[in-house]
Amino acid sequence: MASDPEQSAEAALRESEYRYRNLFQAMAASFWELDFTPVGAMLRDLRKQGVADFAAYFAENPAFVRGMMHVTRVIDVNNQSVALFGRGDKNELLQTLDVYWPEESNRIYAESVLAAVSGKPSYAAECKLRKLDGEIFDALFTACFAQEAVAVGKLLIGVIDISERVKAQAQLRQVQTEFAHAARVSMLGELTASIAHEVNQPLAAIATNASAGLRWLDRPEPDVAEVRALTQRIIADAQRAADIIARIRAMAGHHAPEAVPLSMNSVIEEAMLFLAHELQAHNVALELALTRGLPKVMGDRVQLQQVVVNLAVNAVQAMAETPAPTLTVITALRDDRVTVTVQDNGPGISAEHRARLFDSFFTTKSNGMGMGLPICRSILETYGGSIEAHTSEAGGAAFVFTLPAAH
Amino acid sequence: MVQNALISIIDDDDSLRAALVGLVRSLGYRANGFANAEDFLATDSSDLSAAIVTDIQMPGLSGIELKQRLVADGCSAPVIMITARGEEGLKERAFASGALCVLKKPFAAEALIECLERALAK
Repeated sequence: MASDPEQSAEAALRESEYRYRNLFQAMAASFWELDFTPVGAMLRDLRKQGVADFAAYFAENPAFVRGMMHVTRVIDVNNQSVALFGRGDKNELLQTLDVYWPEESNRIYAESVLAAVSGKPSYAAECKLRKLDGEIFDALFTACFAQEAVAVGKLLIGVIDISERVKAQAQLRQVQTEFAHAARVSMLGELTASIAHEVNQPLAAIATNASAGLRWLDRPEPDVAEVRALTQRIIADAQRAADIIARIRAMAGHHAPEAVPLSMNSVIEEAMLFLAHELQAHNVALELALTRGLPKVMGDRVQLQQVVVNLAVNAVQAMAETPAPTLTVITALRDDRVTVTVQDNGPGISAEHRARLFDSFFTTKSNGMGMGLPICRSILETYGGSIEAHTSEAGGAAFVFTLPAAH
Repeated sequence: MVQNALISIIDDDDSLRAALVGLVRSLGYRANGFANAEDFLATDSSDLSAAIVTDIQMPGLSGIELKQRLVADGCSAPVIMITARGEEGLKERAFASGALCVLKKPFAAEALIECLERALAK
């Protein structure tokens, strides 16, 4: 009996179908069977019209992409899909795919069609999908292009609800932003004396210029030319004071971090504006070895400035007892990563401290909070970077951080 | 005599130095500005100055070190020191080095004028 090849093939097929149906129902993911036969016809038409670059065509014609969704029919779903997308009635879900696909996810649908057309076995991406009641949620969307299924115009897709994970990630980012801001404010607190010095310079110049102006006016023959020159200087000094305050406000302010292409060299140069007086007050010599022509990096300007200022302030504090203290900042390109070295010629980092440097609340300073370095690391990691502590050639501390080059 | 007196002004901050030179000139004195103590010492201004106004914190020689150098060189021109920093003991150290006046920025022009008058009365 079992030797009949036709019968055993049929049995194997039934077995396979049974396993497939069980998996379809039993898995914790939402599974959908789609009929995309009309999409095949649309694509053949497109090719006949001479369109060779589908990707470019889809990008320029969102209505065509919506059209493909509108002719893609849901022919079967599992119970998980009813629970996730529906309102209890499975048949209600069996309609065209565009119902579940918000405009913002057009690109994901287009990419999955391109993957299928180019013969890839599967496609997966995170995107927004829509439930029957209209709620839009974060989903992990997967599509499987099994050859036998594709041949008959069938497609199996899976959807996993990742909204909780996405929400948790957003909350984590929020907490990191709050911590970074708190650390920035505390860092500015350590620079108060230098900031006061910096703001006082233009204020002193303004007061002095104004007094001199009055004196020229009070002469028996007022000297208008002198007064005009002094008044122009007053305007320039007021602008300078305003610039300093704008810089401090940007550093102290609470803003949602924004990853934009940045020149690391200019971030360092701006950070050094904060430190000029601090370095001078501690007689620290500054050596900048900034490699020209580096690729840009992606990051938030204020947050990356914060990292540089934080490392430099640590270096200045570490060199309090060092004769001829020198802060060196070096930029370079290594393995397609922009590398920044902030080093000093202070006492260096002891082996026992090195392992714990980036731990929260670890500090060797009497008034330190121990949050500076962990926050530097978390900022850098947000932008795909990393940071390590080494010993400088002079035996001091050398902090080396890297960020991927932006292309 | 006092009316043609030369006052030397040493401050690394360009705009404040220019303002101080302008103020001194508005009082009817002559004024020379220098961005640092080394530039000042490289000229014969220390011999010609009736008074010296210097910032304390500057790259290179500080105002206090400059006064010590002038004393060692036998230059007795009175020195008025100005500073934007208020750390403890700084004023005491400035006076100990022989400063006639110590002014904290930003200061009223009248305070500087009074110091200058005292310096020129010496």
